[in-house]
Amino acid sequence: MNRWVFTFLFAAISNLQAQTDEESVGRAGAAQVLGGAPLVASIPNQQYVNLVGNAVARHSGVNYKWHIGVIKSDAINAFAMPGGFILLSKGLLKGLDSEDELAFVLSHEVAHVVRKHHYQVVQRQRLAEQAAKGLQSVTQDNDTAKLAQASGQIYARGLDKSAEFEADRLGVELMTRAGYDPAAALNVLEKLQRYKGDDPRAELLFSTHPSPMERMDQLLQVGIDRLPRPSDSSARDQRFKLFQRSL
Amino acid sequence: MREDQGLFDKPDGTQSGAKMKSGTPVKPLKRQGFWVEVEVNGTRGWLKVSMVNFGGSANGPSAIDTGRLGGGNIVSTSAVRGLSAKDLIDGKPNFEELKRLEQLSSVNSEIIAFLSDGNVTASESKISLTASKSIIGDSASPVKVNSIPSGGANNPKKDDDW
Repeated sequence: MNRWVFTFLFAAISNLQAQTDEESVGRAGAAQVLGGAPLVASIPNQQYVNLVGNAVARHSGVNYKWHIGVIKSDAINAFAMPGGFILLSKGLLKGLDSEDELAFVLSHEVAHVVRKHHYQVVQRQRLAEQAAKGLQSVTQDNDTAKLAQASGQIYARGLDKSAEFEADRLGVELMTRAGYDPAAALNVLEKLQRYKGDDPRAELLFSTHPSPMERMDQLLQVGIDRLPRPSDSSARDQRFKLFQRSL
Repeated sequence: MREDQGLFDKPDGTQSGAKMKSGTPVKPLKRQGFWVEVEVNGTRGWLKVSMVNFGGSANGPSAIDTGRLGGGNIVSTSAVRGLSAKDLIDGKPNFEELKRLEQLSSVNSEIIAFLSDGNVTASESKISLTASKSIIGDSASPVKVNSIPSGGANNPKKDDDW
């Protein structure tokens, strides 16, 4: 077999395996979060967030089959799982004011997936475990219950600040490319700032993310205020209000 | 209440250790910011407002301040329905709900129609955030003060207008 063909096939197969493992990790993580809060029943509401999420994700240049869900929780939070799974709390959605703000929330989560932030943490944990136990092929361990538990710990502990800043930055790029207003990102952060303090609904969010003020500063430093803004959002604002009312 | 809740000595998070079971009736006495003083079986203590379910009360937590709230029918509840760090670590995965989640997705034709209906037009500019300095906060540049709108027909703006 031609050497180049072999190299190409090997890379393709390796990539396929990585994707499959990424999805397995994501499924386990999603199941763990859903164990804490199930999906809301309304299918139209679920379809709406899937459409907004796909609208921004298609500008990421990476092909995932996205599965986005709204969960029954008063918490103010959102979760991105490897392989294209995203869960948004009803409490978070109730506090937003526009589809553009929702687009920022979703594009931030899409960015986590595209940059493989959580998947890399799982991979590092597997390697550490492998080194500690001296076992072979722990990296292939797809025990779903174990993966789910490990994912729960990652979501409770949060990612590095740098990963959150990167998700903000890439998220704003994606939503702007899609045609949403980047200023909505600052609106969302300003809203999150209001929850800071004693509001227990945002306790986990604040323990796992940099402060909204710091996140806003980072976005301003990289030039969010230089990005183009769309002029008319009335059509999508109307449908967002309908969506929010029916939540 | 999903888990037992301890009363707090003060409205600052200092816990007294007195534990209550989920659903325990409490009598609200007064509210202070995010906190409400309650009486439970003769013991006084503080809970966060969000830990108390005011479902049985006609007027909700604001009624505490005006003295309109009667006693009884108030039960303690967890701060958040699901998704505490404890839930995420100790919870059991729900694979039935995962199946439902996997059925949720969108196809390309739906996405395109959705974008068109919402007047969402992909930007033709090259969109990239870099480490270059922002206009805002640059003392050498004149700063244009604009409110950041949350969108809507009442907030008309021109393209690129910050």
